[in-house]
Amino acid sequence: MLEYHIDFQGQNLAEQITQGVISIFGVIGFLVGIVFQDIRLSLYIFVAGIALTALLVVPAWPYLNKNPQQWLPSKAKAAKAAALKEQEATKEKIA
Amino acid sequence: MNSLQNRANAVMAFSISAIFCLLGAIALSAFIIPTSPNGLVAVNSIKVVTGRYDKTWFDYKTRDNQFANTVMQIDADLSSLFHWNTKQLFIYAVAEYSTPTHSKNQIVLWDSIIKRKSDAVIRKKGIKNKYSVIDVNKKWTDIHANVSLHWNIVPYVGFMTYGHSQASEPYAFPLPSGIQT
Amino acid sequence: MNLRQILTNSLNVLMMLFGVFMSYKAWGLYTNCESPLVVVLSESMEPAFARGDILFLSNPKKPIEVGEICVFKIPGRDIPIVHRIIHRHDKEATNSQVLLTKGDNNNVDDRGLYQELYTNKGKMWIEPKDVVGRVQGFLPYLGMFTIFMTDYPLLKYALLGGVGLVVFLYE
Repeated sequence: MLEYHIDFQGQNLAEQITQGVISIFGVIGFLVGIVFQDIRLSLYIFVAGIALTALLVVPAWPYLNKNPQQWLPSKAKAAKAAALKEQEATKEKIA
Repeated sequence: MNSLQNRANAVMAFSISAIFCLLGAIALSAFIIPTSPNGLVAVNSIKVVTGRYDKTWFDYKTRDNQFANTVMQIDADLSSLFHWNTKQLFIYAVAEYSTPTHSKNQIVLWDSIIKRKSDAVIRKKGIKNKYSVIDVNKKWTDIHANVSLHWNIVPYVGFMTYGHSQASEPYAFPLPSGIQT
Repeated sequence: MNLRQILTNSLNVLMMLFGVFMSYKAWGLYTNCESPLVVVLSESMEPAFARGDILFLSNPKKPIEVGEICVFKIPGRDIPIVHRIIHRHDKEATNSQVLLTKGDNNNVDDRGLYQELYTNKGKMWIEPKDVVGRVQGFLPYLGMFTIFMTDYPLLKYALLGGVGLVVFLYE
């Protein structure tokens, strides 16, 4: 499946953008609608807000991947690497 | 918010919550928008005829039903009821009276649907009743009815609201002047 | 995925469903209305209500007024009708009322509908006991969802299947 991962801080930011942008567009839509007395205008503005939010947070933009997590190497891999080193060391010894 | 589907799902879920909040706010805003409707109905003539059928009435048995034929005039300005959440106005002229058997009776004489603000100023004469004006007892004897203009605001979203103009002076519905079928 | 996990997930879903059902019933108690939400199925109230609109109902104590829109059931017919009251006659002594209805988009009143079944021959009025609820609020379009589900049963099963999959596969 499609998995475009973003880092932890990116996830936090994406959450805040989602709630912030949609809420702000909702409030603006309501105010513009009530001033111009046009309910369709409100809904268009709200839908534009959703589209903008989706564009901002759904793709894995680089700005959501600025702080990639530095994972520790897995134990199995570390063990393998250690074993390899030891082997080479013994080889050298024999030579 | 890790994978693509997670983020799309989160945006969608929050949008759904938000649109219900927006619709709720729109529905409630109707209560704070000031309106100043006014309307008057006057009955110019009342004629009672006796018969079996009328335009919207059928009774399988008797021939002695009394129908009142009325001609009205309406002067109303309901344009202030058209705000951003008004889909349409349903306006109706109502006759209200009491009889010895029934304490409160209301009959719609005429109604109309208004879809545009520009049509909400009504100056009409010679309006005939749209529905049969017949009492539940099928007789018009010694009945005094007042008429008023009622309206129902049908919203795009939200609450159905109702209102009405002041009632007119009572009009006497007389004995039938002649027998007609 | 073990049995314990599946059972936990099932319990969670059941709890959600019962919660929704209980809220609906509580709302019904509050509004004094057995089914406080109905979906419009016919075009007889156009242009006020179109097919697929959702109506919010309640049954307040005060008598039904002319011009109100009511959902009522004719004895012997299952499908409720949403129409407007055009006549009302109250008897204060017995606290009773007789009502006549008409759809805004129909040319004639509903007496023809009342008498459609031969057992109702001579029925000229409906009474408050026939009224299921009085329309208080309106939400457009959303009821199309349930109309699609009844029109295309496959969609309903697909939806149920989807929910079931989520229940069993969610960890």
